[in-house]
Amino acid sequence: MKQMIIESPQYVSLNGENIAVTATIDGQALSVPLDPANRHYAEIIRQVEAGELVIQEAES
Amino acid sequence: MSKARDLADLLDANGDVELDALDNAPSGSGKNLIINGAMQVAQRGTSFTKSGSSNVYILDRFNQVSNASAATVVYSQDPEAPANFKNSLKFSVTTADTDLTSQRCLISQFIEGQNVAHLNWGTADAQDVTLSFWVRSSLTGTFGGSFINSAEDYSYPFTYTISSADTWEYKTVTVTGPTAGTWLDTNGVGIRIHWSMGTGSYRLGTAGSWSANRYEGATGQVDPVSTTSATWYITGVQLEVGSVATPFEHRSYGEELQLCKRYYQTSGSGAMGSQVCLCGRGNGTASSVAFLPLPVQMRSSPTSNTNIASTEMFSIAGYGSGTATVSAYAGTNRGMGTALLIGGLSGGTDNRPNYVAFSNELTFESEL
Repeated sequence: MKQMIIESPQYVSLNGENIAVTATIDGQALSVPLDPANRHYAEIIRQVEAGELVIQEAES
Repeated sequence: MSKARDLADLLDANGDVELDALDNAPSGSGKNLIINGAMQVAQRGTSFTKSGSSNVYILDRFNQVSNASAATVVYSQDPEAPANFKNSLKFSVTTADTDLTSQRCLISQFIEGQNVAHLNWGTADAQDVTLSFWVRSSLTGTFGGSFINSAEDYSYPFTYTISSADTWEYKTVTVTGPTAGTWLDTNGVGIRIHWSMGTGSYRLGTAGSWSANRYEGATGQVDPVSTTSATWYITGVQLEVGSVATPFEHRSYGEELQLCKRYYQTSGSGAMGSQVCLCGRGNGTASSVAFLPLPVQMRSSPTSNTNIASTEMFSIAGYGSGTATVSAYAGTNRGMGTALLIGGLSGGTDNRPNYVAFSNELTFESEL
């Protein structure tokens, strides 16, 4: 079961390296760092691995 | 367990005091493993209306875990409180959810593993703990809750009885330290404590024993979320080592706020509180990279809000404004604060210093 409703996830990059994911999570526009200990990032990864979510590439 | 038994546990076979036992005995400051147990700190606000499924934080360190899709409930910091307390967390039901077959609505606190490592849970040396709290409800009967591990596969349902409606009552629950199950001692979830506002049979278990199940309430419990206009209040929440509940540890507001800031911080809102101005470095002409020192090291790299409207950037070479987005990201300097990439600007100069002023509140969250 999904713990959060995650919409429109997209990487944010700095100098060509992904540093965060922006997304609307449970209705809030948030930026999530790529830290496995962050609960939002952990849930994003869980949904990606479950095939429930795709993260768009960063804008070039 | 009696006080005599507790005292006996401090002695070895020769009748000498065991230092290890004293290390884990409740003492004065720091005995309460719950943060914001007196419901003093409310950085996100003081009233929250929640409908449908959502897992959200309400008063600091307390969260709702719910998939009771038909319910609308209100959580608030309320001045209704027993003697010696100023606030409580109030749960009130606007619209009931009467079909909880595969649903639950919980009020929870998740305790960081590093803060409960000394309990030795999951080992032969597991320490008993006692949960105490003041509670009041418009309903009476046997209410439920549970202790559960990070993986949510090892749990201990508990019950408490409310005898009189709309009357504050003091409750204690002593939990035998589990010698099995996997319990984190990291910056992840150490222990989840749930007070059930309603749990379907799929997550109910018999109170008073550990089992390898995901129980989030106790068989036979009252489900307040199923009664329109039901109210339930809690305050004075304390979790301590041992089998005896001791008086609530009143920490100062400042101490409690500092503890809460490990998990949530805000620049504040309002005319002054939101006037954050950061010094950054131009990243091209439309974004700035800045570092924001935070007064308390957060548990993990924090999630930030991104909707920072009406932002202005002042740089040596020019000036621009725009509706910016903010991204906090994991850096090697998490011990001091967080790095920010602020985009959506104009008028900057690459690799030149600039100042970025925000007119909206910045929030940082690293809850469990």
